[in-house]
Amino acid sequence: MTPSIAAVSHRVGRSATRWWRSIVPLMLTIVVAASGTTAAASDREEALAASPQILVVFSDDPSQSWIREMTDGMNVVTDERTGNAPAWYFEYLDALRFQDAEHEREFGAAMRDKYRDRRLDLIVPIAGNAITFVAAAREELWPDAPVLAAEYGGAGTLATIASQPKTLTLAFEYGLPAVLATVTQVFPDITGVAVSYGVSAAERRRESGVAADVRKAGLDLLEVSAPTLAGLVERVARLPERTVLFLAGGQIDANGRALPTWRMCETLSQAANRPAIMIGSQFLGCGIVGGLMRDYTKIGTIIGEHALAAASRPDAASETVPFSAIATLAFDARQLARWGVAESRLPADSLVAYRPPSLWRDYHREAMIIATAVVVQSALIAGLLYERRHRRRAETESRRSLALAAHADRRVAMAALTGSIAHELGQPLGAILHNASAAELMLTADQLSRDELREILHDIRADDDRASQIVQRHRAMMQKHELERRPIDLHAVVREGVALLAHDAARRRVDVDVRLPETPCVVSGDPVLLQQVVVNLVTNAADAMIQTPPVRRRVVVRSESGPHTVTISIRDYGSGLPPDVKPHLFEPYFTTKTEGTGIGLTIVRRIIDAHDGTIEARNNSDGGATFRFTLATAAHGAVAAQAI
Amino acid sequence: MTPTVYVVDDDEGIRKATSRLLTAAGFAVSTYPSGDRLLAELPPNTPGCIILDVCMPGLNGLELQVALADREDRPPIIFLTGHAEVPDTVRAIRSGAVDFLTKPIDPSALLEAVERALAQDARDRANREHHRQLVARYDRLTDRERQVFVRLIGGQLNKQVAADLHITERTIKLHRARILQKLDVDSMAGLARFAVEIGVEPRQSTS
Repeated sequence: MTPSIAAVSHRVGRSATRWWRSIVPLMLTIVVAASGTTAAASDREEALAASPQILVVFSDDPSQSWIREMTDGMNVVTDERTGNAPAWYFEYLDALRFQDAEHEREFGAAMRDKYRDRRLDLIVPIAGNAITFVAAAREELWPDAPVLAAEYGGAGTLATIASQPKTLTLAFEYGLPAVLATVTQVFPDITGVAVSYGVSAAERRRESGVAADVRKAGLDLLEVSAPTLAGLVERVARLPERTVLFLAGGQIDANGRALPTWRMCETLSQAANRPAIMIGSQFLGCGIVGGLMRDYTKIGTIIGEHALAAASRPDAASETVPFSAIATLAFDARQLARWGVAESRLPADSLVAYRPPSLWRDYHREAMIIATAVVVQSALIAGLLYERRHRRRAETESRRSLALAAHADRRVAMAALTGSIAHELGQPLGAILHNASAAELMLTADQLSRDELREILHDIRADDDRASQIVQRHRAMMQKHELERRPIDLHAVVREGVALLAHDAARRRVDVDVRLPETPCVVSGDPVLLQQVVVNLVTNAADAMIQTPPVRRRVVVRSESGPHTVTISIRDYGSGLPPDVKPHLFEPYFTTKTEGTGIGLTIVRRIIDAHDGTIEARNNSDGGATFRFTLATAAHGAVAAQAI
Repeated sequence: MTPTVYVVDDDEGIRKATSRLLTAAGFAVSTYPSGDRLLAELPPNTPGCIILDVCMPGLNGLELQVALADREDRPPIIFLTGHAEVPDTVRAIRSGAVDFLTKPIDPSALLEAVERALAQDARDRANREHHRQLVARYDRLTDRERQVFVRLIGGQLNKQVAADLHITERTIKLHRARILQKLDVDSMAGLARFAVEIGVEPRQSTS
């Protein structure tokens, strides 16, 4: 497709117009932007001023997973009306590791310095230590800022701040009863809960509400504690039957150093002889079984939403959030397998994570596509294999049918030669008889010399050999024979073939002139079938000369060697191939002879084909026709010449 | 001259064995690998017989027989054949084959056949010799004597012959005596036999 000149110029014109259209606003933008840098800065301040600025104070250090989850949850909160997100400031009291009053004081001072020039619209302390800190320090640090105190560990500490002015509270139902209910559903034989608070006294204090909930659920409470993690490991490995291990704490060790909770969970749940549970859903995967768990991201979002409301609306109120709003029902498939829990026993809507990778479940579209591709490919391969087998079978069939047809053809050919077989055999047999009779006569006449007797016996033996050769030769041609290929001397095969016909040829007064070099010519082939080719072609040549005067009835058999091929030519001196015959020469049942079967040349062609050779027939310029077949010679030295 | 058995066969083994058998039986044997060779080398007028394979490359048995027929001496031929083909057999016997043996050839049958053939040849040769002598004697007759001869053997009386030839009866008598002398016969019956033997047509009286 070549666009016309007009079309091209039109397109050029249009794009030029566009260029001018787009460059004007671009330039305007640049001008405005350059002149308005200070304006943009004030815009941002306005935007900040518009959205509430909220300071969140966490009790624990920011590396704890639930803290990260909560900040993630808060960060997604945006004001639906303005589309603005609050400006969050996050601070971490790290109270478990820094427990003295001095620390809280220094922390407070740092806060004061840090937020001196910031307007804070709301202070949000989350959980015990943060709440008590804010309750105590707000007067000094943020006298005007309202407070939203959030507690997810139960309502315990909220009481210390709830009564203060400009204070809202947000309590999250602890939900341990529901958690335990789920546990007993999944492990129906459970009678007790082993609670591990970790190795620090602070945590044990913090999680003291657990014991009451366990008892309320009608389960035995077994507190598992040890001064070191190693001690805990030993304890949890020998828990009584029918208990679950509840990992309620474990953030710090006895020396106040932070423990990676995930690692603690991995170690303990791995060592435990009973299933372990934890309250935070973010621990699913560390080795706990799962069940109902708190989703701290959801908690963060709810705190964020309430904080936004508290900062921007005067009607915001204190609230208690039910456990169901923040609970996630999830299990670890590996642990279910470890404790022999069938997935069918899980509550409805349970999420099962960490299933062993299953192509079908996880990537079923892709799996489907791949499976389809595999099926299609397999079908294709199967098809090709079938085709190949079919072809091979057809080949075998064809070889077998060739063998059968060739055998049938040989029988016909040999049947035609039976007369000459008898006659041929008659020669040596007659000679033997005459020799024997001569010896007898000589004996009778007492004229037999030793030398003469020896000579006679020698001749008898020679004639006997000749007779068996004739029988051999004919028998080989009469026998059924599967196509085989082995190194053979083609010249010997040709000579044998001609020898078979010698007598018949003589009877028909055809002189078969074999002009083959003495040197063997090795090809890979089937001696019987190639001999049949020679027999058929020579017979054919002889048949072609029925109308020829006997003195001119001659068949010349020659061999011409190429670099990698050998060509055997068989020429007759008959009337040649009529033009209408030539194209049908090798077709089955095509014959010009009254007694021919019409398969002789077809067999010849098929035998030559089976030897990967070629055959052609041509009329000679000086009368008669010549058939030539060419075969590849065996690689030099690869095969020794073998007698047939 | 010893009669010779001429063996023609393209098969050397057969040739050698047959030759050996015949030699052992006391015959002189000469062998030839082909009919052509025999035709070329057969010495003229030698007593003997030919053993010939009907089926041979080149000149076959029957063709050789035809070729031999052109010769003055026709040695009898024993044909050997693998499978007696009736038309060939008929042709061969018509052409004067003495025997037609079918392979495998029984040695004694062959020897008997050879004996017969040689006997036949001897007879043939004697007959041919006899005939040759008769013809030679006949050739001695003058034209006038032959005219008288054919009339006499036709049963004419002397005076009928005389009238026929317009000569005197006495002259006829002289001619008759000369004819009997020349042909070496002693009676009119002998004269008639001679005429039959050499195939002279008698001449009946025209009057």
